[in-house]
Amino acid sequence: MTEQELIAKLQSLKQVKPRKEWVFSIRMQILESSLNASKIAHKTTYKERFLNVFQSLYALNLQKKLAYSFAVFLFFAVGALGVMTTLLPNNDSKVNITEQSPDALVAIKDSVETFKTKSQNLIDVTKNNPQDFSLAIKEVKNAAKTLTEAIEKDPELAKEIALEVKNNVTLLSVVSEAELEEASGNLCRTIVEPVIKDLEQTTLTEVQHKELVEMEGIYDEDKYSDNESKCWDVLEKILLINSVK
Amino acid sequence: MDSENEQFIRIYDQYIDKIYRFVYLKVNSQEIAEDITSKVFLKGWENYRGEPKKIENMSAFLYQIARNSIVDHYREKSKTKIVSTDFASKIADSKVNLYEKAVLKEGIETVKLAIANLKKDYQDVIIWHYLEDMPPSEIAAILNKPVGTIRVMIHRGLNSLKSELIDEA
Repeated sequence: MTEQELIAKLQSLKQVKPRKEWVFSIRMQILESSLNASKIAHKTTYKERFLNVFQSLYALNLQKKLAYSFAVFLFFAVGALGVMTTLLPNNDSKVNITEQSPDALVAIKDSVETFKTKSQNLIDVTKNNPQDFSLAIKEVKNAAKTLTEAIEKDPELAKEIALEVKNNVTLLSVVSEAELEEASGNLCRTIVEPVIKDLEQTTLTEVQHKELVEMEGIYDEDKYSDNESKCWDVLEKILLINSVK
Repeated sequence: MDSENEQFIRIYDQYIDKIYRFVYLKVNSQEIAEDITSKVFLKGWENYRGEPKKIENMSAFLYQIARNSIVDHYREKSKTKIVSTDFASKIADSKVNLYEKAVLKEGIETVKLAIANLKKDYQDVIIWHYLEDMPPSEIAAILNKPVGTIRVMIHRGLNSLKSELIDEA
């Protein structure tokens, strides 16, 4: 046997590869451990916020007089505004929007929950019941479509659920399935556009404004391509600008 | 957090096949190879998280965890049965599953067994150099040995493998 033949035989061992399902499941474990860590980090910030509320109340106590006067002023101002709104003619649409929003938010949040549940189910199926894979994919696609339609009806609510949906899509990224890409892309674009519009109307620092313009450029360039992952990256960056504004 | 996680997922995608193959050829069992490889990446992620810049050579870092985990595995095994780690892969799981049967059909089982008969250090350099196309300098970094020594080990390892294959034939 020549050296070349021996090396060729050795190279044939490259055919040894791990099972695809097992590779997915380990990928999942790494992602899950990272999500758990970020949840713990969030808990700390909630604690901090809770303490901040108490600190604010304490400060308020020191300036009682000023606070009470301000509260009385606020009470009258809001009352006067309410009376004016009710008495003014042709203001039905405004009343409808304020009445509709909480219901619409609940409906959108329900759609987000369904999307999350179906996504988790798909991940479980990938690990445990590969035979149900196509059904689980279909369910996630339908849930994404329903959520997209719900956001299209009330785009102003997109920013309320953007982060939750983005996190879920990150979790879902372990299942690289072409069938999901279109639904995921549509969902992303439906969220990104109102979030960008909302951010355009707020006051930003020069750096934040520059970042926003850059993200808008990337988004516009990629709007009509099939690269849905770039859209989610843009959303992540925009949410980051939004969180520090 | 997310970007660190995404970076590690990219590293995972890049190395999963290589590390699995390395472990599989050393333990000769799909089940044990999966178990050890998953530990390698979960340990790797634990170390990477928070301080990714600390790891200068990712390949060396992951292979080192894999080597230590294989040693741990045989150490654990020897508590119930005393066996030299050099011969341990010969007595690895006798259970032959469908995957292994497929591998057998491809006719690579002979090379696999010949590798298993080599000295532990020769196994490593042969797998890294000829299967993973690693240059001697990279192997030297993993084993913390001079490049010249690695070249000699590759040469001797290949000769030993040749003798093993001739003996088996």
